[in-house]
Amino acid sequence: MRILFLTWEFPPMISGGLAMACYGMVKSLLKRNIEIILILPTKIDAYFVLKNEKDIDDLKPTFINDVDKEKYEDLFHDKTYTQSEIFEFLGICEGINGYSSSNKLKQVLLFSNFFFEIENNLSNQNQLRIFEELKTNLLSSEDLFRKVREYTNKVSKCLYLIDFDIVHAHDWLCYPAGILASKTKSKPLVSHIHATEFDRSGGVGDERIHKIEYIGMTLADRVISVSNYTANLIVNRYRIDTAKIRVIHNAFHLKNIHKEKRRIFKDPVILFLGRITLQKGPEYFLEVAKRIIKIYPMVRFIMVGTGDLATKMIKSSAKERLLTRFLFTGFLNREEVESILSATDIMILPSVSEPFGIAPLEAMSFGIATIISKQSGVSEIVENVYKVDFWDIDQMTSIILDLLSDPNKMVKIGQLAAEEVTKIQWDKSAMMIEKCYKELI
Amino acid sequence: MINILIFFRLHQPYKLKKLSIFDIGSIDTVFDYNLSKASIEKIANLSYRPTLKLLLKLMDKFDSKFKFSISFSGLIIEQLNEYCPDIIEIIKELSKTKNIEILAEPYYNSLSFLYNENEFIFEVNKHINFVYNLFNFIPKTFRNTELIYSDKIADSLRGFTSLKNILTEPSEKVIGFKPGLNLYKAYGKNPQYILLRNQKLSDDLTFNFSNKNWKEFPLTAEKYSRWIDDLQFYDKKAKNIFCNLVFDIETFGYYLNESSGILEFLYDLPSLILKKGKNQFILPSEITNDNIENLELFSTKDYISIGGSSKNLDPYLGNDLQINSQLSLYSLIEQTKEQNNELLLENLRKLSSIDYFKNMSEYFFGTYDFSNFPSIESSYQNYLYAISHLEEKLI
Repeated sequence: MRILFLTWEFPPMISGGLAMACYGMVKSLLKRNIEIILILPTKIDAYFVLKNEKDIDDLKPTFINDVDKEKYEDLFHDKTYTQSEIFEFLGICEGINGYSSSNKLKQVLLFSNFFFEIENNLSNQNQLRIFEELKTNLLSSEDLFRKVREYTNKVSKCLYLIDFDIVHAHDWLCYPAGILASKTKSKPLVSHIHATEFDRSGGVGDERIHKIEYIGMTLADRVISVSNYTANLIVNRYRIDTAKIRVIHNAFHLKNIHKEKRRIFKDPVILFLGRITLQKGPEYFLEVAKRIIKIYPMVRFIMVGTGDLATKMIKSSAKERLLTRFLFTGFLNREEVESILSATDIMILPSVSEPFGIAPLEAMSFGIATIISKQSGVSEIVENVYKVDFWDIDQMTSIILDLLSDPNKMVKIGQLAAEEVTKIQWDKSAMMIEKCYKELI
Repeated sequence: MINILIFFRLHQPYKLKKLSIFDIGSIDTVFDYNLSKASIEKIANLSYRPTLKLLLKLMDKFDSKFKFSISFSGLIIEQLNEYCPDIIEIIKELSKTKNIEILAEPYYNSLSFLYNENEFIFEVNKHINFVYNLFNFIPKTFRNTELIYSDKIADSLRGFTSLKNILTEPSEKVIGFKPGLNLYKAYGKNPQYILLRNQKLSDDLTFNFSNKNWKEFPLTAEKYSRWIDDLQFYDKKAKNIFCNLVFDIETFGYYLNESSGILEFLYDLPSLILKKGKNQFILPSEITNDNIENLELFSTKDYISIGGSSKNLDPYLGNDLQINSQLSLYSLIEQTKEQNNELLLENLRKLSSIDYFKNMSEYFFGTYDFSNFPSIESSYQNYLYAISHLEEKLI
C-alpha cells in the first residue's frame, strides 16, 4: 500500500506538535510495510519516497525537474556534506515559526509558482461549486494563503510522477492539495484533524480557514480525529457525517527514557511549554504563578515558546513583580526542549482547547508531575496526571502547593507517569490508521 | 560677568553577555569582557583620546583662563585601567594643571538612592575615595546619576562635608519659567549651592550639531559663543550669570563623528568666548557668594532628572520591566550582603548601572549603541537571566 502523505510540518521542520505526531505516525506506518510519499512545503520542488524506517531521518529527495536534481547531485556527491546542509538546500529549516501563531513563516518556505487551475480536473457540478468557494478562500494575498496556494501547486506538479493508493492530508493547510490529488488521480482522501481553527484561535477565528476545513472534511472519504474531544467539535461545529469519522489518538515516539535530572535551578521548576497564544492558556499559568509565589516564593516558573501573546505575557509578569521567579525562554529547539524538561519538576498544560496535546506525554517521559486541562484530547488516554478545567486556577494552585510540600509525592507521580507513557506508542495508533486505509481500498 | 562652567563626563557600562536560560548557574561571568574591551577601545580611539588631548592642548594655550570640570563613573575608569590605561594618564596630566575639578558621583552609575540609602552613601564614598587615590583630588561637587535630584538627595549627602555643590537639571516645577541662569541655594546647609545645567546650549551641541534640518545648522563656534554672550540680556539685574554646559565626552568624536567638525568646534570655542573679556571660565569650587541668604532656594520633593521629556524618573522606572528588574536586583543585593559574599556583591553592583534599565525603555531604546538586544523585552529577559545566574550562585 502506498500513501501520499501531505503535511506542513515534519522534522526538522518543527513548530508545534504536528511535526512530531507525523514523524511518529510515519515511522510506525513504515514498520507495517506501508510506503509513504511525503510532500512538504519545501522551497525546491521535491518529494520524499520513504520505504523503510531508516528513510525517515535521511529524507532523500526526488526532484521534479532536472535542474534541481543536477544542482543537488553536484553539491552533494562527495559525501562530505552534513545533513543540515542538504536540508538547507531543499529549503527545510529547523525551528520555523508556527503557521498557527501567525503568518510569519520564514522566507525559506517561499515558492515562486502560480496557482494551478484545479477545476480542470473536476466533473461533478456540486464539486465544482465547492471548489469555486475553495479558490475564493485561497485568493487572499496574505503570506500564509499564498504559501498554501504554492504548496497546492507543487503537489499538483508531483502528481504526474507518482502513484499511490490513498491521499492522507494533515490539517487545513494541506487540504486544498489533498483534494486536488484525490480528484486528479481518483483516489480516496483521508483528512486528518490535528487542530481546528476554533482551537488555534481560542475563539471564532478566520472564516476562510473554517471554510477550507469544512470543505476538506466534507470531500474526504474518512476523517481522522486525534481525540473524542475534537471529534465532538467537528460534529458540532462542522456537521461532518459521523459515519466517516475515526478517532485515533496521537501517541508518543519515545526516543529514550530520561531518568537523570539535569537541574538548572536549585528551586523547583514549574513549566509552561507551548505556543504563547490564547489557545494554550498562558494567562492561567501566570495567574497560578502569582498565587504560588505569594505563598511559596522559592520556585521558578518558566514559560517556553513564542506566540502573539509573548510580549503581553512578559509585560504582565513584570507587572506582578514576580522578580526573577517567572522567566521566559523564547523559542527552543528540540534539544533545548529536552534540556528544559530534564530540569523541570511540574508541568502545566492549561489549554483552553487542545485537540490532542503531545507535550504532556513528553513531560511524563521525563518523570515530570503533569497537570493537564480537561479540555484536551490527551486527557482521554492518560491516568497518572492531574486533570483540571483550564479555568480552575484554585485547583491548579492547590495541586502544586500539595506537590511542593510533599516532594516524595511529586517524584512518585512522575515515576508512574513515566511508566505509563511507555505504553502509549504509535504502533497501536498506526494499526488503526492502516485499518482505516484498508476500508477505502 | 558670565561665568562659564563646562562639565565633561565619561561613562560606559560593562557589556552583558547574550544569555540563554541554560547559561544560568553554569557560566563563569555574566559580562562580556571581550565586547566591553572592543567597545571601550573603539570609543577611546574615536573620542576619549583625541578629545582629552585636545583639552590638554587648550589648557596649555590658555593657561589658567580655560578651566573645566570632569567626572567619570567608577565603571569606566575600571575599564580604561584594564583596556586603555593611557587615557587615565591623560586625565592625570590634566588634573596636574589645577585648572580642572573632578566631580563625585555614584560609583556604579545607579539608582541606589531609591532603594537603599546606605547603598547610595557607600557608592558615593567609594567614588570619592577612588578619585582621591587615583588623582589626589577631593571632590567638592556632586552630580547624581542622570543628574537626578530631590531634597532627599541633599539629605543623604549631608554627611559628606567636602561636597559643597550639586549639579542638576532646571525644572519648571521648581523655578517656573525663569531661565535658570543663577546660582541657587540648596535646601539645608550642606551641600550649599545648586548649579543648573543650561538645557538649551548643552542640548544644541549634543543633539543638533549634526542635525541638517535644524534651522541654526550649521552650528559654528562663533555662533555658539555669540549665544553665550547674549545670555546677559536674559537677566539684566543679575550680577553673575552662570552658564553650565554639560556634555558627555563621547559626544566629541563618537556620538558625533570626527567628520562633523565637532573637535574643531571645541578647539575654537574658548578663544571666542574669552574674546570680549566679559566672560570667564570658572570651576564650581571657585564659587563664592558672600550673600548666600539672597540666593533663591531650589527645593523639590519630587525627583527631577535629565531624562526624556518628562525630566523625572519615568525614563528609568516608567514601565514594569524596569521596575521588576530593579526590584530583583536590589532584593538580591540585600540577600548577598547578609551572606557576606563580596565577589557576588561586586557583580550585582556593576549590574546596577542605569544603562541596563534604559535599554528596557521605549524612550531610550535604540538611541544608545550599547543596546545589543533586538527589543526592550529581550533586554529585560537577558537582564533577568543575569540576575538569576547570580542568584543561583548565592545560597
